[in-house]
Amino acid sequence: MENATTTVNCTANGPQIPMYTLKPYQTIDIVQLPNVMYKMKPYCGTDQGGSSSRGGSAEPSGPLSCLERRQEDVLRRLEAMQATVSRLEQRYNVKVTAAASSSSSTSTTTASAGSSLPTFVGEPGRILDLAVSADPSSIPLSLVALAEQVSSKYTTLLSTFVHSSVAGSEIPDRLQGLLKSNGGRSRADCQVAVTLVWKKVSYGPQLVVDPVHQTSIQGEANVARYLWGLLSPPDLDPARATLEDELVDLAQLQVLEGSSKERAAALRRLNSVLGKQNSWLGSGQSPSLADVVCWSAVQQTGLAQGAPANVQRWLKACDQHQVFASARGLVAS
Amino acid sequence: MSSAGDGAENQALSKKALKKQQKDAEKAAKKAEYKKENAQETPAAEVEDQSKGMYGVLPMNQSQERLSRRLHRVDELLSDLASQAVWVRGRLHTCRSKGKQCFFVVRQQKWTVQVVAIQNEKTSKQMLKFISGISAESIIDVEGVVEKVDKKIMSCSQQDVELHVKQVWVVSAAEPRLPLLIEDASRPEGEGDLATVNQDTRLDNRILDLRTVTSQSIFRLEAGVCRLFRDYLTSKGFVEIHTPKIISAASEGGANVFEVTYFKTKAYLAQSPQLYKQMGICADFDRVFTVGSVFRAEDSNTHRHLTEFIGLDLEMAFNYHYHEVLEVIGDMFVSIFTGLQEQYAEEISLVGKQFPSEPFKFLTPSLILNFIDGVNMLREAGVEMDDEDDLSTANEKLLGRLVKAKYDTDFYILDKFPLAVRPFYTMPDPHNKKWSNSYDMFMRGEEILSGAQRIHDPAYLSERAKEHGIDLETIRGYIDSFKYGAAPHAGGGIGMERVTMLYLGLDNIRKTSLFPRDPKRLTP
Repeated sequence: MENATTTVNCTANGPQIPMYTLKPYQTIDIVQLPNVMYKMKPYCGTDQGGSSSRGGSAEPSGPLSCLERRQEDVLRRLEAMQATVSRLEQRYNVKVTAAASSSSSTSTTTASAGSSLPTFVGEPGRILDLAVSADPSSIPLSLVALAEQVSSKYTTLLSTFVHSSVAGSEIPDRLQGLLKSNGGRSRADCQVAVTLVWKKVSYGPQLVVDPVHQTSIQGEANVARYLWGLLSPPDLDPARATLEDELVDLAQLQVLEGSSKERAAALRRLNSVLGKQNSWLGSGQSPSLADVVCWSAVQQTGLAQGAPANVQRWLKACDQHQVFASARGLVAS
Repeated sequence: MSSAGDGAENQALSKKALKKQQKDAEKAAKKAEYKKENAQETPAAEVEDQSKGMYGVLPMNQSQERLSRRLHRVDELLSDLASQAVWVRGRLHTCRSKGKQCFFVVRQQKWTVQVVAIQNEKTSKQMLKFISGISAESIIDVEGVVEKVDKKIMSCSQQDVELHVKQVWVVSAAEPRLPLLIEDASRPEGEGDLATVNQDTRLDNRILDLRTVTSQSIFRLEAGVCRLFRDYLTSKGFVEIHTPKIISAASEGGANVFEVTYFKTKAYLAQSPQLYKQMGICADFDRVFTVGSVFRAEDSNTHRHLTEFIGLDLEMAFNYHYHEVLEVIGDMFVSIFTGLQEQYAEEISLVGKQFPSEPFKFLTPSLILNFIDGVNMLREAGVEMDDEDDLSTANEKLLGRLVKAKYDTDFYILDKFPLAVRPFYTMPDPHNKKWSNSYDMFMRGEEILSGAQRIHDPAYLSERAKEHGIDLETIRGYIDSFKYGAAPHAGGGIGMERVTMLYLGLDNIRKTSLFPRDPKRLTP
């Protein structure tokens, strides 16, 4: 760009001298334009080897090795932490509980699942309020069953509300009082509250526990996982836990959200799993999280009729079991 | 504004009327002057006028005759009246003339319709000139033919039709210079460079400000709040009572009451009808409510304090537990909110055009949390406070946000406040002296109701008053009213202006008080 003054000429028949001159109103310096849309720092830590490692041919670069290094780093830090804990243990002469020690020896994932339960549950004066919003057009049966279980384990305040975004008349009476503590229980005496709000939610039920530190938990299966965490300690056997997790995901992704094809496939999968187990999807003598969520999904989508034999047998067993007692009433109607 | 030409027609048409008006001593001096000016210029232009008798200034209405002519309301002007001639009375909202055409808008309360005048064999040039000379906000009668329009008129409430003018008469002229323009006062703030009107100018010229569609809607909705409050409570067996506003002693303390001279002694303006409501309970009315002015001599210049406001108060005897009352109040709010949502949807959306806000959300039944739950939520958000600290305004707001994030409701109830922060007549919790049977209710994170179970036992009441260091003699009458047996009771009171403000998400309580009173304003 040449740095000349811009001139404005008069009309053609006028004298050919500039009418007035203008100084350029911006100085054109060389502006460094970035050649990428935006910059960001590499998100995997490369500080291990310092700056020399970046160019070094000995270190294989790429995201995979980065992750590897990070994992090793994390493991090292965990070991260091473990060492610190055991040192403290010796110094103050305390014993770690069996659960804690066993979880540290197995896998880290189950340990983190166990810690999802807020530590203050049961403390006097503190109430763990679980605010669940659900769409009245698809009743989360697992929530009803699990809320019942939670209230048998803790003193629980159950309550149901209708949000102003849905007209009260749209919600039948039995849903308006779906979750309800009997006998005027005082909120101050309760350890846990399950607050169900009927409203339009687009992606299945939502659970909010602590709006400051958590996002909402989305989807019936995930809400059920949270509630289950209040009921029983996490399964420490990685194989069983994985199978259960898979089945819960199966219920959410392939049955509740799936196409008819996926639903049929999911039923076949359930059938084959049930063929190997004695009566429940989990390995125990009573229904597991997978049982509750799968049952809820199968019932909501109306797959109970025409289900394969093992599934039929399992559904019958569910019908008899008290865990499903309160939710079953919603299916029949 | 106006010129000689239209004056000529005025004169020719209604000379008698004008003379009458001029003679009228009560007429504003300016107006008379304006007319006289016009009269002097009359002889200048006496051209053929084919619209003679179709426009002009009507003589002052002294109820000379009672016409059987029907005046249509502006909101009745719909496409099914097409090609009919109708009469409409309203204010001249805006007017713009262009060559041989003149477009003007007639406004009636919150409805507006466009009127078209085109120069032709029936409508003279002089008539057009007269119309464009009418000052804005004048009340005019218009006869016109309803015509459907092809393209919706977005600037008017009647979008499908316009009126083609036949006659235009001025019923009452406005002064040509207005202290504020209705159009400016109706404009959303912070939008482009167009003029808006600041709060004080609005309040100084409140009657003009109240003519805006927004104000019209706000006060209709406010009337709805009051009506729904009455309707709900009446349906629940409450009796409306009226309590005195001039009282002999300050009810609580005495710091924030207005003193008035009462013959040879002094009296105070009531800062709450509470004592009288309670006496209503002692007098066996069982459930009472009252709607009336409440006075607070608090020198607080905030967006939510007034020195005089309308209190909607209720008091109710209960059978076993004060939660019976809490639930009635909670349901009352739900009924008010649903009523507003259903019956005032148009007003809400009209207000939202000028002052946008998120629609008000609530739960049915109302959400009740304990005070300590609120404190715990605040603590988790990083606020440091003791169990028995009262909520500061900032914490109230924050808690409102947290509750909204968790439960998605703008209205909730906080129960079981610490006894230490409540007045002496509040009933303590039976199990833990730290807490009390008292509650606050919040809308959009601002407190709108404060209430409690009251102590109905005179001996205990005296004891509590002593603990608070209150001289028993000053409240003797109050304590004595419980001496002859009193039912356990609880209640509370809300400010009508505050509820309206928060429901609509407005930023200032002065917008919802017709003629607000605050420490700096006594007029209009």
